[in-house]
Parts: sequence; structure tokens; C-alpha cells
Amino acid sequence: MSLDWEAVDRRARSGDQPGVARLFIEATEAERRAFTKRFEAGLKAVDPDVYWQARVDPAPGYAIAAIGTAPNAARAATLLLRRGIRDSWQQIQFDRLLQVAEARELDWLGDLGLRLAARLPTRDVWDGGDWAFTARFLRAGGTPPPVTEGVVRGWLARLIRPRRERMPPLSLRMREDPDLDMLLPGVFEIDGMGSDIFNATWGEDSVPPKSAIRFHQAVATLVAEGRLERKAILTATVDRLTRGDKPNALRPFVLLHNELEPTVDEIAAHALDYARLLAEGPGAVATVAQRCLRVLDDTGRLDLDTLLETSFPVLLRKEKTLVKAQISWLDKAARRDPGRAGDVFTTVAAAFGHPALDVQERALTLVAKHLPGLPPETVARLAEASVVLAGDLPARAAALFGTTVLTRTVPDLPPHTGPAPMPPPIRSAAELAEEIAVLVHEQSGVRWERVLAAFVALHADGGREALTEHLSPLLGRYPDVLGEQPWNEGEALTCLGAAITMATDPGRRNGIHRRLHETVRIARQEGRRGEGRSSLSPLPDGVLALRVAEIAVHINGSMMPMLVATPTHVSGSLEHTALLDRLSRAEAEGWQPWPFDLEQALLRLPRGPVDAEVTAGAAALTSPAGRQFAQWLASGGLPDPISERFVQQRPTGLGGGHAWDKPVARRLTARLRRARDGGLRLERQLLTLDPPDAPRYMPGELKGAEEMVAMVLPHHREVAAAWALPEVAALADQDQQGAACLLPLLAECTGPVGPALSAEIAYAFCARQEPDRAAAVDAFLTLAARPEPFATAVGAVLGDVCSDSTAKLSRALPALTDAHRAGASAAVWELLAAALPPLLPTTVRGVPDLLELATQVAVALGARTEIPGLADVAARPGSSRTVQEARRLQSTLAP
Amino acid sequence: MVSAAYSYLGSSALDDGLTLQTSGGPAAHPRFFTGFLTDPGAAATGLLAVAEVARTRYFRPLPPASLDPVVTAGSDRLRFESFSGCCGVYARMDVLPEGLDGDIVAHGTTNVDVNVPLQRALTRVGRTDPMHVAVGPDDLTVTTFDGELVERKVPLPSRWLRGFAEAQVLTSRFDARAEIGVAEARILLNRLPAGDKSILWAVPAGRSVRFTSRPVPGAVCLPGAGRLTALKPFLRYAKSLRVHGPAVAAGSGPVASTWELSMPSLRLSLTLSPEPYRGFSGEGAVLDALASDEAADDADLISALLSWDPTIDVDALAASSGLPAHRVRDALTQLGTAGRVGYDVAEAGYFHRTLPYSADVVERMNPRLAGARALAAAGAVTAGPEVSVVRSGGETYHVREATSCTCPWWAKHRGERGPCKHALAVRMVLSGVVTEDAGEEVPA
Repeated sequence: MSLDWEAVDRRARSGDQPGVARLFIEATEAERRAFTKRFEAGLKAVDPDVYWQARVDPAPGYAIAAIGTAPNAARAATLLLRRGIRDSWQQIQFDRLLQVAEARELDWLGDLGLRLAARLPTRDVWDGGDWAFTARFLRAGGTPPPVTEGVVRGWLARLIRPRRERMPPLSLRMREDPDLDMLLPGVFEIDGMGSDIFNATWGEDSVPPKSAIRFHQAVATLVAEGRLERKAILTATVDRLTRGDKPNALRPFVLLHNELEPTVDEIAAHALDYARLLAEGPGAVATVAQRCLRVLDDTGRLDLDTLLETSFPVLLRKEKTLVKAQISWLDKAARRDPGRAGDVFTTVAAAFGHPALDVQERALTLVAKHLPGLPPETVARLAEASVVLAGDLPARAAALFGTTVLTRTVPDLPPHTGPAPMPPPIRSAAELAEEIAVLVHEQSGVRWERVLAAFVALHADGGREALTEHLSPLLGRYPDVLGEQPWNEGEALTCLGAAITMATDPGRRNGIHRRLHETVRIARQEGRRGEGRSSLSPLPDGVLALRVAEIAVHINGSMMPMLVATPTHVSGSLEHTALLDRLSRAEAEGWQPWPFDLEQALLRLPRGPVDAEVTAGAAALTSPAGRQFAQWLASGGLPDPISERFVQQRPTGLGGGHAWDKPVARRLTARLRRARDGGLRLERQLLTLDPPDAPRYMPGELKGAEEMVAMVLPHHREVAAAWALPEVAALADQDQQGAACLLPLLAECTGPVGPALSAEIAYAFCARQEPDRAAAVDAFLTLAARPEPFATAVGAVLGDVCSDSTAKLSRALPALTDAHRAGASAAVWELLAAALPPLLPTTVRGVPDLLELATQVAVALGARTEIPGLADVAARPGSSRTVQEARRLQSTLAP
Repeated sequence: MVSAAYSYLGSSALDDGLTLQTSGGPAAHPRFFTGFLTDPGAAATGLLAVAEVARTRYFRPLPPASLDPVVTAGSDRLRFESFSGCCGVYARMDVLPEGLDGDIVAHGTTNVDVNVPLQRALTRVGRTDPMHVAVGPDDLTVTTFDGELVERKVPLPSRWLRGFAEAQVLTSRFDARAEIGVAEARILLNRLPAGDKSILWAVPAGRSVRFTSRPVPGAVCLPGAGRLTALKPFLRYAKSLRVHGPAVAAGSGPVASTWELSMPSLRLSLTLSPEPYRGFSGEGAVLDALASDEAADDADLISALLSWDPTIDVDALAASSGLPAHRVRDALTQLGTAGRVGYDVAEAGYFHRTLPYSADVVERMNPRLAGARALAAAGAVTAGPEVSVVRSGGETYHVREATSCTCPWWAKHRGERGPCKHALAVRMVLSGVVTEDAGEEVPA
């Protein structure tokens, strides 16, 4: 009987693994070898979908057949590594496979194991099933496993990834593992293995029992009973910590280190390693190293020079607990060895350069205590080192050393240059096509304005042919964005796509044209975007879409040579003279700007007094648009809307307005009302905002549209701020990202800073992401360089939202420090003076640091403002940091 | 895939002195230096940082490619370089003349073995221990060696090689943008979370720098600040941190930057790719110079004239080659692409360094260049005076001034990653470059 593919295939597809095995066991070796080619061809022809679609997976059967026919390990490995078969390794009945191998008297199973091992993955190892399968070949061939990353990862995963609810303790399984001695060192040596351990135990609950997976305890148990060599394991652990890895990857080794409890002798053997760890390891590791070295020092076995050399970088670490412990350790060392006190205190003086005042103070106090006994040259060196002290400390140091306080100059704020002028207009249809392609990838207000201006101008210039040639390919390339689809109705890009169609193919009148017509009509007659048959966004970003829709509707109706709303500056601002020129030209050439184009133009005019020439020029215009312009100027432009602070509260009880993962208890928003009735058609919707009573989960409606929103009303920035406030608040209270990019734009705009913008800056200071906080600093600096007061309002909100922990104060500190360092000290001081009173009575994290910053700023400015409630805190008994820092600030303000 | 084969006469070791084993370059196991390092602690820390970058993948989902650092012996200094497996971080330690007390016995570039036990030993080198160092085995060892060679084979992806070269070309456009003291540098680096992948910009503010959310003139980009971790241990030796970057304007996208810690005898710098997920290989900074054949001829001429001076003097080269300076610069770019010169931002000049890999094929394998050649050869380009039309993959693209294009790639990067393949194809057609490898597949 010879082997035939159909028989093998049938049995494999019915899941009959014993049947497949029997076929090969009963065949002769010659028949098996003769079958190889046919089998490989048959396997190649199998539809790949079978492996996952068929009710019974044929792969295990094929695998047994592969062992039954392959002439050597290389061919067998190729067959087993085929995608469909590899995915089913764990379903293979290995005993059957072995029976076949035995019947063939194969001597290459170990070789096969090595080949499979070389291909083991180093990522997505899951529970190490691939390794388990490979290991059985190695064991069957009596071959030791190769120590490679894939093997060690698979082996470890097999041990620590629970596959069943009940498993014997890890220590038991490790003890019995035949590869333990071979592969365990790799767990220490290969980078990132700790992460695997950490992830396996992360979030562990009672199921499965912790003992089944706790790596450090298991290893420690085996060390305790002598199964593993203590010295080797400890050395490997310390090595791993010294070589470093990601913090979570080091954690299991820190735990193991603690579990091993090194003796003094063992610590002494690794003294230099611990010294390095203390200086440079991650916080948790450095803490362990400090503890070990202190044990060593207590027994008198740590060289003072090693201690001093290590201390220098330690004293500048950001973990203040470590630094303070190091300072008191050095104090002890100085008392023990008075002959070296000079060296010790010169080292302590390194802490003068620490950014935290309480650390500086502790070092200074210690130095002051011992100063009388120190040699003069040491005193001179210490005095020299003390120039870097900050806050109130230079004065103390000056008194101590008999020097004078250096006056530090506050750096100047970067000057406010105002928004940049618009880049030059687009000149050709080819350039327009490029810019539209860019818009499809990333929208920006400036780019939109340039595209719209060029589109209208080029069309009027008789460039229909050029437009057709260059823009039509775009319609075909981006049908999901420029073509109308169920998901993008009413978006500006869709309207642009429609406008391109209208301009290049005027004969075509399809549904979208009709719908846009209706949309524009509704906006014109009812002043409404959105709801009913208008698909536009009712938010401010809908204004742009409305303008594009207007272009689409009218592009063929009248020969419009240009848009009048195109801004002169990137902020969206449109100079009076520019609009006057455009309207004069319209009157001279006999055309009327489109209504919403004109309205947008008027909304973009700067505030404040208008040049007499412009007023006169406008008054001379006679066209309807010209008269509207003149009247607009005469009435003083758009009156500022009324913006009021509005607090959203999470309703108590089930189903309240909160998110599933991040409940927001309270959020500051703003309510907008118009200051007048009537006015432009765009006014009502733009200037009316009634936030719901409860915070909404992740409001993301304006994401990516920040610049477009800011450019609608560039001289009434509170409006854009109010609309975007929920999104900026979500940066802090829901850990979102990105929305703060609006703030620097608004800072460049003009108009009063009302409750919305000040709340926005405060929230963005507390944003989760550094780029958002940096955006807040940018906005703060720009505003600080301008005369309008704003910082007190920002401070009040910051104090408010941080005092009930709606936002995290500790996040704001580096941002505020940046603002201070960049020269906005005066504004930062105003902010702090308003933020501190509500925060002082609380126990919010970061208040001492805020007080410390306040001291630094107050010293820099020579501020003497009284801060309500500060004296009370400073007068409190005790030595908590809040009280200490309050006293420091109090003494700075009222010396 | 190409692979790098290493063959060392034993492992590098630190016992009474540091012996770095070498593989490849001017000889099988060249010897470059013997003598003392005057700042052994700092040098050991710097070497560890270079090795750390070599073995790290800062952006995970990539197959591992971990290649040994290379060392270059110039006329008066040693430079250790490495490139991360993710192709996004380039590290270099320069041991300056003040840091060496000994003889540079030969010039050239070779791989050095920095194994795990050596790394372990290097962590224990103290600030003042005097350290003898030998780069390469001595002649006696080479001739009498009968032990077992330490051999390794590592896959050498072409993107790794291209990235290494691209980093040199990109940095040649950098200027120093900020210099801050080491105390401020420490605060700055400590503030950055280790896993940070966000794009930040830094501008000088007071004695330090501050972060800003948008590029402004004078700002440097800090892309994926977490990738600067390898610098931290060196802070205890450094005197200052200098930051280099290209000129940026408002609205620029993320760009690369170099962060350099220095002390009188040593410099350690990391160069970061514009975004953590973006390897240097795709930055396209070299494509302008590659598209023409003139540069290739010039490069051959220039390469014959290179010496091992600390920096390459463009004017001197121009004089000795008879080429104008701009063509010398183009030729150097071309040589940089082939891995035959490196760029030192601190000295603002190229230096002679020949990567011990065969890199010549790689440059021709640049996917964008290959795609452009295929387009040009297939006659897909209709050249026009201002606007040219390129048909590619069933789409029609318009290329303006042989630079900008209407393709999605250009729309996404707007020239920040070099020209697209359509623009390159137009340039080839306009310059009349005859393409020899016609009929290649056009990648969609």
C-alpha cells in the first residue's frame, strides 16, 4: 500500500490524528520518502482559509504527516512552520507524532527542535505554547535548549502565565523544570524579561493563586533550599539592576533582591554596584541601594571616599526622600570622622544646587551648624557654593558667610510681536491642488482661507480648464472625504468637493447641490446651522462649512472675482483698509460679495478706534455691502457678548452625566449670551451657548478644528474659548490630549479675557500631557506681554479646580515654573496670589511646592503682597512641609 | 537580507586594562590605539551609553537589529558610534585629544565588541581609576592567536544602513541652538518621563530652556524625549548640554535634533529622529544629491582625497580637487549616504569614517529612488515647463517645479522628508538621466 494525499487529507480534515499516524506507521520507509513531494504539493494547494474556517482544523493531522514523510529536519521544520500549521501546534497530539517518529527511527528530532527554537517569537509570546511544543522535540532528541531570547521568553511565559485556574506553586514547577539551570540566567540577562514578569502578575487577583506565578518568591524559595546557587542569583540580580531597564521591568528584580535579603558580606562584595545604583538607578532601585549601603556603612565597611563620590550625584536626584536621607547620612559620617568634616560638608554643599528649596535649606542648616568647626578654606569653598541657593536662602547664606546677596535679574518676557501676516496667495491651479491634498490630510484655518480665496479667484480668472485638469483627479482620489458620504455630510471638505464639482462640471446638478442650496437658504433666512434640513455644525466650526457651501452654491451663478473675508493675518484678523479696498473694488466693478462672506469679513475686523480715512472711505460707498460696512464701523462693531461662569455638576445617582472610566464630578464652563438683538445672521448662533447641567464625557467636537474656530471671531476670543472650554477641561479632568493648541492662538487674538479663557488656561496648566501644558505656558507668556490683566482670574480658577481635586495641582507646577523662568514672573505672582487662598486650607498634593514657587517668585520680584490665610497656616504648630513653606513665604513677604 | 558578520579574537574585556576587540575595517582585526584614557569614568559611562543605544529599540514593533558599535580612529581622536535597532537614535562618543594619552597607531573604522560582561565591568569604573585602553589586539596576538574566534551574524536591514547615513546628512544642516549648564540639564532630563513619545519644542529661557508647544524660530524639536534616557548617567561628568537642530519656522513639522553633553576631554551626543516611530531611513535628506550622476563622479574624486583629520576642510578639498565648494559639499553628502563620512555637529564639519559594511548597494536600493527610476523608465512622466504630469498606479499626479506634488505622500510631509518619488522621476526626466534598470516594478 502506498501513501496517497487524499487518504491523508481526508483523515486530517476529519480530525483523525491517530488515523493519520497509523497510515505512516504502517507504511514502509521507502513509501514515506516517496510521498514527500506529493505531500508538499498537496499542502501547498490547501486553501489557507481552511485552517480557521473549517469545523475541524486539519493542521494537526498535516503536522503528523509532515513528521511521517519529511526526509530531514530542515524540510520538517519548513512544513511545521507553515502559517496554518504553526497556529495549531498546541492541538497536535504529540504522542502520535512521537509514535510516527519512532516507527521511522528518526534521529533528527533534536535538530528539528533547534530549528523551531531559532524561529520562536520574541514578541507576543502569550503563554509560551510554541516553546512548549518545540521543547518536546528537544527533549525527545536529548538536545539541550539553545539560550536565545525567543527560547527564554517562551520558557518563562510557560512558567508564569497561568493557563489553568489551579496550578501547582511556581516554586514547585520551577524546581522540577529540566531546563531551569540552562535558561534561568537568561531571564536576568536579556533586556525586557522583567516586563514579562511584571505584566504576568499585574492586576493579579485571587484567581489564579498568587503562589502560582510569583516569580521572586519562587526563586527565593529555590535559593533558600539550595536548588539554586545563592551567590549566582544575587550577582545576576544586582547585575540586572545595574545594567538597567525600564522601571517596570526592574520591579520583579527589586522584589527578588528584597526577598534575598543580602547579608553584609554580600553587600560588601557589590558595594560599587550599589553605589552606582544609588547615584543613577530608578527611584525604587536607588532606595534599595541606599538602604544596603547604609547597612554596610553602619558596620564600618564603606570607604568614606566612595560615600562622598557617590553622594554628589545623589544629592541632585529628584527624589527628595533619597536626598534628605543622604544628607543626614553624611551628617552622621562627619560626626564619626571629624577629621574629614571639611570634605563631607563640601559634598553636602552639592545639595545647594538642588531645585527644591527645602533640600537646599536642609543642607544649609546642616552646614551652618557645623561651620564654626570647619577650616577656613572649606568655609570659603562653601561660601562659593552657596551662590546657587534660591528663594529666601541667599540672604541666610550671606548672613552666615558674611557675604553679600547677589541680585538676580528677572529675564525679560519675549516681546509680543502680534500675529504674522497671511502667507502669499496661491497662484496656480497646480498649487491649489497641492494645498487641497494637504487639507485632506490635515486641516488648518490658514490653509483653508488660502484655498478658498484661490479657488474663487482662479475660477473667475477663466481658469475652469486648469481647475478641471488639476482638481478633478483629487475628487477621484479622495471620494471618502471630498465626496458626499453618510458620515461626512455637512463637513467643510465635503462642501469643497461639491464646489469643485460645480466649478468644473457646471452641467451636473445632483442631490448634494440641492441640499447645499437648502442649507444656505436656511442659514440666510433663519440664521441657523444644523437641525432640520441643515447638515452643518451648529458649533463655530460650522461657519467655515457654511462659507464653503455658499461658494459651492453660487460659484456658477455670478462671476465672483474674489472673497472679501480672506484675513490679512494668520490669527484671522482682517484689516479695515483691506476690506475697504475690496468693497470699493466691488462697487467699481459692479459686483456684490456673497452674504456670509461679507458677514465673516465684518466679524474679523479689529476692535478699537478706526482710522478716519477708513471711516470716510466707507461712508462714501453706496452699494448695499458698502453701506453695511459703514454702518458696522459707525456702530462700533460687534459688542462683546456676555460670558458667565457656569458650573457643571455630576448629578447624584445612577446614570448621571459621567463617563464609564473617569467620572467628572464638577467642571467649570461658560455660558454665552448676546449683548444685543438683531445684528448679523451669524451672530445669534455664535454668541449663544448654554452648557448642559452635567459634564459630558470626552467632548471632542472641535478636535482638529481649533484654528478654524479661533479665526471666526479673532477679536472676541472669549467666544471661541467658551465653545472649546469643555474640551480643554477634559485635558485635565479626563486626561485627554491635544485641545490646548487653541490657547496660543487665542492669546494672539484680542478681546477681553473672560471666565472661559481664564478657566481654559488654568485647566490646560493641569493637563495630563506635556505638550498641552507647554501650550498653556505659551499662551500665558503671550498674554503676560500684553497690558490686559488676566492672571488673577486664571489663578482663581486654578485654586478653585485644584482645591477640590477636579484637576491635579502637581501637574501645573513645572508649567508655572517655566512661565516664571521665561520672564512672566509678575503675572505668575498675580496668579499665585489668587490661587493660594483657596488651596491653603486643603491638603491637596503640591501645595507646599506651590508655596515654594511663590517664595522664588516673590524673591525675584521683591513682592510684598499679603496673601489671605497664609499667616494662619504659617502660625500652625508642627513642621509639616506646608507649614514650613508657608513660613518661608510669609517671612519673604513680611520680613 | 544582508547580514553583518562579526569575528573577534576573543571578547573585549576589562581586567588590568580595557581591551576592545575589533572586527573588520582596514584589516580583519585592526589595532588603532594603545595608551591611557585620562577620564576613565566618563569614558566608560559614555561607552555604556553608546552600547545602550545599539541594543535598544525605542519603537517596539520592529524586528530586532542590534549591531555592534563602530569606532573610528582619526588623526587625534577616537569616535564611538552606534545606531539603535529602530533606526531612530544615533549615538556618538568622541574621545577628544585631551582625553587620550597614548598613540593612535592606525586610522580607520572598525566594529568593537561591547559584550554583557564588559558592560558589567564598565559600570564599576570609578572617576579616578587610571585606565589603560587598547583598541584592537596587538600584532603578537593577531599572529599567534589559536583560540576560538568570537563570531556572530546579525541581520543588517538596508533601512538600518540607510538611516545611519541619513542621520549624518540631516545633522549637517544643524546649528547650535542652546547651551545650558549641567545643573539645568539635569533638571530638564529628570523632568522628562522615560516613556515619553510626544513632540515638544524647546527654546532658550533664562539659564535653561523651556518647552513650547509650537515651533518658533530658534526652537529645537524634542521628539520622544524618553529616548534621551541614555544620556543621564553621563550627567555627573558633563559640564554642559548643547542642543543642535535645523532652522525652523512657525508651522514646521517635527524635525531631528542632537543633544550633546560635553566635557573638555569627551563629548557624548544623541541624535533623535523627528518622531519616535520614524526611522532616519525614510527622511529622504539624501535624495536630492543622489538623483544626479554628477555627484557620484565627484564623490569618487573626493573620496580619494580624504584624510583622517578631525574635520574635513571643504575649502582645502575644493582647492585640491578643482571642484567648486558646492559640488564638494554635494559629493560629501553622497559619501555620507554611502557611510563613508560622518558629520560632527560640535565641530560643524564632516569627518572621514568608512562604515565597515558594504553599503554601496544600499543607496541604490533606496525605495523612493528605485520607484522614481521605474516611473521615469516606464515613460510615466510628461514633463512640462512648470507643471509635469506623472501617471502612477492608476492615478494622475501633478508635480510643480520638480519639487511639490499632489500625491498623498507629499500632502502628508510637505517636503519635510525629502522629495516624493514622482518629483524625483520628473527630475530624472528633466535632467535626461538615462536609466539602466528599466522595467522594474513600480511599487504602488
